[in-house]
Amino acid sequence: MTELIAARTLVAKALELELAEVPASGDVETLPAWDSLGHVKVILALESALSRMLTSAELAQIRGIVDIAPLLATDIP
Amino acid sequence: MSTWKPKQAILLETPRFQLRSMSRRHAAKASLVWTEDAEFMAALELPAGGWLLRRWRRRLPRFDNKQNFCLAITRKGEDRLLGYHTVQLTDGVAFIGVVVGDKQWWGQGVVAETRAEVLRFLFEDLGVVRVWGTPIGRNMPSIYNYQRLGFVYEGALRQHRPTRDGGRVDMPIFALLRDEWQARRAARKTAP
Repeated sequence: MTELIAARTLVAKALELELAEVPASGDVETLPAWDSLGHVKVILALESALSRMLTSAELAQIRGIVDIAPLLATDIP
Repeated sequence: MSTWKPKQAILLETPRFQLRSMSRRHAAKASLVWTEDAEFMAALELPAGGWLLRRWRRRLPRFDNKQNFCLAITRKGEDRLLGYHTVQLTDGVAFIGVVVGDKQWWGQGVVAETRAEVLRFLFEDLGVVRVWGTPIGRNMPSIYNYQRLGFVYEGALRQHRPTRDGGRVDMPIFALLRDEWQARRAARKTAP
């Protein structure tokens, strides 16, 4: 649950949205602000949060909040 | 089914754009100016500047409107080339690619809108069973455009392509099957 909120918060900040506008089910198809340029912002914000570059496999599989949460899980104490 | 026959020029339309068959010569000539743009060429992992028309043209296959297509993207009512889609057909499988060279249109949903119509043409009119493509490593907008239209990540061609700095980069494989495309379309029609 904590990582889902962290993922929602990260995406909301990257896309300049309110947290309430980013449901846990939010993804590239359901969030209008998550367009191609928004996607770049989300990925760069995620890499900044993780302090590392994503692998090509990770990059290719991030399409929504539920894909970001597990990556952040390893970063949450 | 479409009335389109092999070797005929293709003309497709979306709400904002028109897609029209284009020759290799025309595609190369009209897009040569983009080779001067470092940002555009970086997305292709190619060096910017100094490209001769002949060398740039050689990077494209011959488009015969039978197995190889190049579809120019223009805004409806205008002739200026914004980008183009490429399609290579083999045994009911289509390998696709796209570039948008007009940077004013980056982030404006050009690929999502026009690729959706290319997919409809391939699956519905041509009866293709599988469409796939391979964005280059960290080309995030390109990866996004596959995800946005429901393509499935199938793995990667590891270290498949040389980079400008002498390294190698993976190329993720994204594919969409006709059944998956039909299911998505049906779901959209029944969505509230």
